[in-house]
Parts: sequence; structure tokens; C-alpha cells
Amino acid sequence: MTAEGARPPAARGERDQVVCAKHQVPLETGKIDLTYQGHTFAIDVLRCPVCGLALIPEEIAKGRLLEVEQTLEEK
Amino acid sequence: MDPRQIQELEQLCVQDEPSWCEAACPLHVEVHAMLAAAARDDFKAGAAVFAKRVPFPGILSRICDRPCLAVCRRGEVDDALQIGLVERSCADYAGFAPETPRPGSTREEQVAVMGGGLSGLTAAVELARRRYAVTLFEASDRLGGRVRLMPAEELPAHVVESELARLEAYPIDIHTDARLGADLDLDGLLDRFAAVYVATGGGTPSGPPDHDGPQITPEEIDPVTLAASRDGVFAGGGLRRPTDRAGTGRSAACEAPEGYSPSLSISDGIKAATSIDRYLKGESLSAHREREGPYASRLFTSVTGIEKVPAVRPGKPESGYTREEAASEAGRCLQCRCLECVKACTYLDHYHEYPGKCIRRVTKNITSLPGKSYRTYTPFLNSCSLCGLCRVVCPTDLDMAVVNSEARRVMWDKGFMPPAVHDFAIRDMEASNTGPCGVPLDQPGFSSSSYLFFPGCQLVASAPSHVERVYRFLMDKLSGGVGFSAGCCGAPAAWAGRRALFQEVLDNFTRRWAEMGRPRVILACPTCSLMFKDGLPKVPVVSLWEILDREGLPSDVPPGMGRRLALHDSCTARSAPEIQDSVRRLVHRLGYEIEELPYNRELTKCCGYGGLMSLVNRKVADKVIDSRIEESPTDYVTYCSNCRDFFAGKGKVSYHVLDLIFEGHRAGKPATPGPTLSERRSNRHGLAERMLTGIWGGPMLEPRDHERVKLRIPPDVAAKMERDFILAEDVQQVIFQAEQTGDRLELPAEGRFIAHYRPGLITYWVEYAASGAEYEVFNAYSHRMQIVAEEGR
Repeated sequence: MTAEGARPPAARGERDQVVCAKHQVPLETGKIDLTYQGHTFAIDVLRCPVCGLALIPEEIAKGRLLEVEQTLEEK
Repeated sequence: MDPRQIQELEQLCVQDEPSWCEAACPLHVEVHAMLAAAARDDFKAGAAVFAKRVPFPGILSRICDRPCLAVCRRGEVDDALQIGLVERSCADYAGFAPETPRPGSTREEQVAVMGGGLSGLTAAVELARRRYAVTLFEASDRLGGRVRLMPAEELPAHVVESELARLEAYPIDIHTDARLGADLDLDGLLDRFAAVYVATGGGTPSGPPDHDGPQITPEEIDPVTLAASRDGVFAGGGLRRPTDRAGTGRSAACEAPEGYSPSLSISDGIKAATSIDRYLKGESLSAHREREGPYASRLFTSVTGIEKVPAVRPGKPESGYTREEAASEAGRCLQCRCLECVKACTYLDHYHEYPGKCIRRVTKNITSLPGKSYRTYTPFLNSCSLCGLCRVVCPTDLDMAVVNSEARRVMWDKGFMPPAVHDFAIRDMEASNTGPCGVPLDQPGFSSSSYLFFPGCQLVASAPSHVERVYRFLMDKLSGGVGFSAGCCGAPAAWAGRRALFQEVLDNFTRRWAEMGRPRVILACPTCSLMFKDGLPKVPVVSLWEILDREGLPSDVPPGMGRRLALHDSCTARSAPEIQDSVRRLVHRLGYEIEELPYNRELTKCCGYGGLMSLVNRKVADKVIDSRIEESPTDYVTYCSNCRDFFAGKGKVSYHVLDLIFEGHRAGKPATPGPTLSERRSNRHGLAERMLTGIWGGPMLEPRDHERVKLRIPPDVAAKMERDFILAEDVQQVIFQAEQTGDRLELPAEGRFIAHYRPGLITYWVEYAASGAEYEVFNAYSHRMQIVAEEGR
């Protein structure tokens, strides 16, 4: 039905197009705390300036987060 | 097992043992390394290996008594390696590096060495290397002892002279024409020296015995330490070997003495130096000396299948091998090693590791304190299928399944195991046991059961219609009521090292089983059989295959027509010959001819599912599946649904025994892959619903809220979800939550939403759009890290 190349997931596209559905405002860069295996750290992501709802794009989930997950699993 | 007990298993691995030739050599020359170097025409490296352990390499390389020959494993195939001749080639074509000058003594103690033969010279050199002040006394007018008796064509005098010139590098005080008894006595020596090594057993070609009467008898010499009965006196060499002495100095000039062992003489010299060093330092003389002289190695080396290649004979025996002959002979070395398990196990082969080394690393992995050092071996110990083939092929029965499963337990108990690693399988188990039919039911119309059909959660997921037909068949054939359960035996918990959770599954089952009147449990899955055997030994079980063997087959079974199928035994049935036999009888009865795979029955291989291998390490699991399906081009028949699905998933035509019973073979048709992970979940649910309504007469199951979310998942997204262990149900939960709470991001231009939800340990993200009554899914991904605080929320 859908080829990834023809219709790429929008999460990989332009970030300024993403808005918070509840507050209808564009997302802005902000910090969120992430925790795993007893360790906590903050990363900058896009999030709603009103409610704070965040977006972790796939590139980050499968890139930096995965890397950190694997490192923390060995600690 | 605690980490210490796990570590102790390392002792069982013989791969670290030296080769037999090295162990038999009194000097423990690394023969295999020397031969490997010679085989690649690097005689310089070969000579260096030899000289590393031998103080006068130019002499020994020509006159070694070669105790290695008798133990060479190659001798069992054709001819033992001509190690002595290759040694000589190293000397001939490379020579040995000259001695580098050594600094003078730094220790105050003076040591005397009596006897300038190989043993005494070696002791003197070894003691000088340890910085003692050494004085050497030789009875005759020149050094060398019995090596002077060797035929000149074997050991030319110039070689002896140039090798003895090595002594010049050491500050050793040498006195010739000094005979024990005549010029010196032990009392006098002990007044002047802190320790004495007596190595006067040899003689000179024409000279008299080198001491007057035996002041030390062989019987008073300790074979381990070479300590004589007098304090501070050590003795060795020919002196303690009467057979050596018989020929010593009594032979005709220029004739090799009978029974003379130059290698043992040198070995005694090294041993004496060690003893004297320990004696003067006040250390234990006897501790840890078991392997100083010749010993038998524990190494196992299989010689099965080795092609016969006779030893190379030198074209001109008198001048030894040519370079080419020596390299060719050295190339026959088997480079002895064990690696029986690594040869059989794709997982160990993938990691290029053998158990001894693995166990050391696994132990470190499970004992490291958090933050102290990295636990880099977690993926290794979690990637094992726990199949136990290694134990069967191991000469000492070492079982890596025990090591890895115990290590997982320790890690879980200490809180070191990342729970997300096995989360998918644990949730799958819990879904089975808490879902419909997860708790065993009595047959309708019965308040207790004589039998309980427990097909196993994976068979229910893979082949629900077979399960239903079998159950109807069993109710028809067996009396006293046949209960049913679609539950899980707890294997995922056991494999994940979660002992308490496994016990909880067993306890829940046992409670309900007792309420049902303790029925005999009919098992169709070999893994369930293993879990019941280990975890519930008091619950009577019987395999479905034995029941079918006894009660007969359903009436409308399609005939096998003598078609040939290769039978794959499940790894969890490795130690269950009764299951293996009944399946074979059944397959025969169905009309098929059975082909036995090279690895079968007790030696069978895992399909890639065991031990949760495929969940943790897809790469290894893929290799395991490939290696198994490449064993035969014939279509396979299995009695585990996961084995069937894993093989079929790689395009191998594979049948479950129940496929043959209810569908027959599909001659010439391609493999039918098993259901996807999401389909497996819905198959279980669908079967339970069909059985609860159709057999128990109950109402349709009420779907849970998120299950009402209807999805449209394009094939590419579905394939990605399958790869990443994301279920349709996970996506349903994300969308349900997002739609309920309004917590979702929007891509207005495309009319899509992005939302995330964390139902357990994993956070799922879904990009979707509403499409009529359905939701179209454009992407799904996940991560293990948990979002703790989204600022401002």
C-alpha cells in the first residue's frame, strides 16, 4: 500500500510543521528528562510550549537513545 | 549456583590445556607454535619459540631425546610429527640468537654448582639470571659433560663450543679439574656457599667418574624439588636416574650414552635453580610445582576425519630436512585443540570463544559492581539458546547452558539484568496466562479431569485450528474428562533468569491442576515437557505423540505415500528419547520415510528460538537457523511450532507433525511462513473465543477498550513492526490513549498525528491518521528509556 520512500513518515520531515494537537501551537525546543537503569539525563527535543508534550523523533530513538540504552545496560 | 560455583566450572574446559607434545616435553617447548612458524617457512620464529624455553638451543636441537614423539596425536592417524627434525631445521636455517650480556649478581648469597654437564650448566645460567653469585665446579678439564660423547655428525664440536660460549654472557665463576670427593666435599662447600646443586652424574669420554663414590644416592633426592637429605643441598641430572648413569662415561669414546636424556637433564637444572631460589628466599619448595617436569595434558583433540598424510622423509637423512621438507612436515601438525563445542555450536562460533574464556568473562560480568566496570558480556550470556549441545559434545560434560542460565539468574537477582531485554517474551507469557483459556478449564459437563491438554502457548499461537481439532479428538478418545489450557509453561521466565516469576507460574498452574483432580497433563510442546520435568516433577505428564501412538490417529489423515522428510528434534527434547521415539513412530505411521539429520536426537541443534536467543540477538539466531536448515535439502518435519515457523520463515519447507496429520504434505509447494507476532496474539485470542463459545457454549468475549481501535497497517510498516517486536496491540494502545486524552502531536499539512504511550517497560511511538472508522499507521517505533518529566507538564 505505502512505500516508505514515496510517503516518508512525517516524523522525519520538517519539525516546524508539528503542532500540539490540544493547544494548536507549534512545538519549540526544550528539555525533557529521560531515565533508564537508574540513570537520568536531559535531552533537547521539540515540545509544546503550553503543556510540554514532547516529540522524540525516530532518528533520536534509534540513534542516540539506543546508544545510551546499550551503554547503560552494560553499567 | 553462586558466581564462585559458576567460575569453578571453568576448570572443566580443557581448551586452555597445553598440547600433548608441550606437556610431555620436560622443558615445555611450545611445539605447536614452533611447527606453525616452520610450516610458513619462518624458521627464525620457530627457532625463537624453541630457544625461549631451552638454555643451550643449538645443542638440544640436535640431540633431543624427543619425548614428544610418543604422545603426538597425529600418531593415531598416520605418523607422529618429526618434531626433532624440524627443530634441527630451525637451527640449520635460522640459528639461535646469541646471548645478551647479563649484569652481575645483586644477591648476597653464593651458590655452588657441581658438574659442568647440561644440568649443571643450566642451573648455573638460571641462577645467574636470577642475579645470584654462582660458582661452577667441573671435574674434568672442560665443560659439556656427556654432550661431548655425541657423534660428531649429530653434534659437531664447533656447535658445542659456540653454545658453551653463551656462558660468557653470565658472571659465573667457573673452575675445572675440581672433583667432588677429591678436591671438594659437601661439608666444605656448605661452609662457603648458601646452597649447592650437585649434578655430577655424567662423565667425560675418557675421564674417570667425576666424583669419588656416590655422596648422594638417587633415593634421597626429592623428585619434585630435587632437595637432597642435607639442608641446602640439591641434586639432579644423571645422578638421580640410574639408567642414565649405567651408560655414563662407561661407553666407548664418541658413542652416545644409553638412556641419556638431555631434555630431562636441562629440566632438572631449571628445577634446581627454582628450588634454590625459593630455598634462599625462605619460600615453600613444593608449592605449585606439579607441572614443572613432563606430565599428561588434559587436552582433548578429535582426530576423526583427518586425512592420512605420512611423515616427510628427508631426501638426505644425514643432512636433515631441506627447508621445503621441513615446512611440509611441520604443516602436518594438527595444532591440537579441543573446541568440540565451538565446532558444534553456531553461537560460540559466532563469538569466536571457547567456554573456559567465556566463563571467566561471564563471572566478571555478574560480579562487577554497578559503576565499577562495564558489564560487556551481558549480550553474550543472553544470546545462548541454552540448548545444551555443548555438554553432549564436551569431553568433560561442561554445559554452557548451565553457566549462562545461572548467570542470568544471578544478574536478575542482583538487579543487574536490564528488564527490557526479555520484556517481549515475558509479556507474551503473561498475555497467555492471563488471557482467555490461560487458566485450565475442565471439559464441559465434568467437574474434574482425568487429563489436561496443554498444547503450549506457541502452538496455540502458530496453529490454533490444529489445537482445536486435537482437543476435540482427545475428548472423543479419552474418558474421565479432558481439560484444556492455552497457557504458558513459564519457559520465558525460566530462560530470562527470573526464578521467582517462573515459580509463580508453576504455583498458579499447580493450584488449578490440584482443583481439577490432578489430571495427567498431555503436552504437545517439547519445551513445556522440559519445564514440567524440571519445575513440576510431581505432575504426571505424557506427550501428545505418545497418546496418538497409543490411541491411534484421526480417521481422515492424508497418507504420506512414502515421501521422505528430514526429522528435526527439538533441542528441548534432547534428553527425552521417549518423545523422539514416539514422534518417529508416528511419522512412520503417517506414511513418511524419515531421514535422520547429521545432528539428531541427543546431538540435535536449536532452531534459534531457545533461551530467547532470537529476541536478544537476531544476528546469531539467523545464523543458527541457517546452519540448521542447511543440514539437508530434504523438507523438514518438526514437533515444535517455533522450530517449524523459524525454518519456514527462512524459506525451508517444514511441517509440524500436526500439519501432516491434518493437512498432509504440500508436494512441490513453497514454504508457508508462520504467523507474524501480532497474528500470533490474535490467533490465541481467536482460538480461545472459538473454543469458549463453540465447546463451552459461552458468550463472545468482550473486547478491551483499545482492542476496538481498528488499524490499517501497510505491509512495509507491518514488516518493520515485526522486526522491532512491536505488536498491533501496542499500536492500538497508543492510539487509544492519544484519542482518549488528546495528548497527541499533529502534522496539520498531512492530517496525521504522532503519539506515544508506555504500557510497560517500552515506550511506543505511532504516527497515524484517522481514515473512516479505521486508523492508518504510517510509522511505529519504540525506545527503552522512560520519559520522566516533560517540562511544564
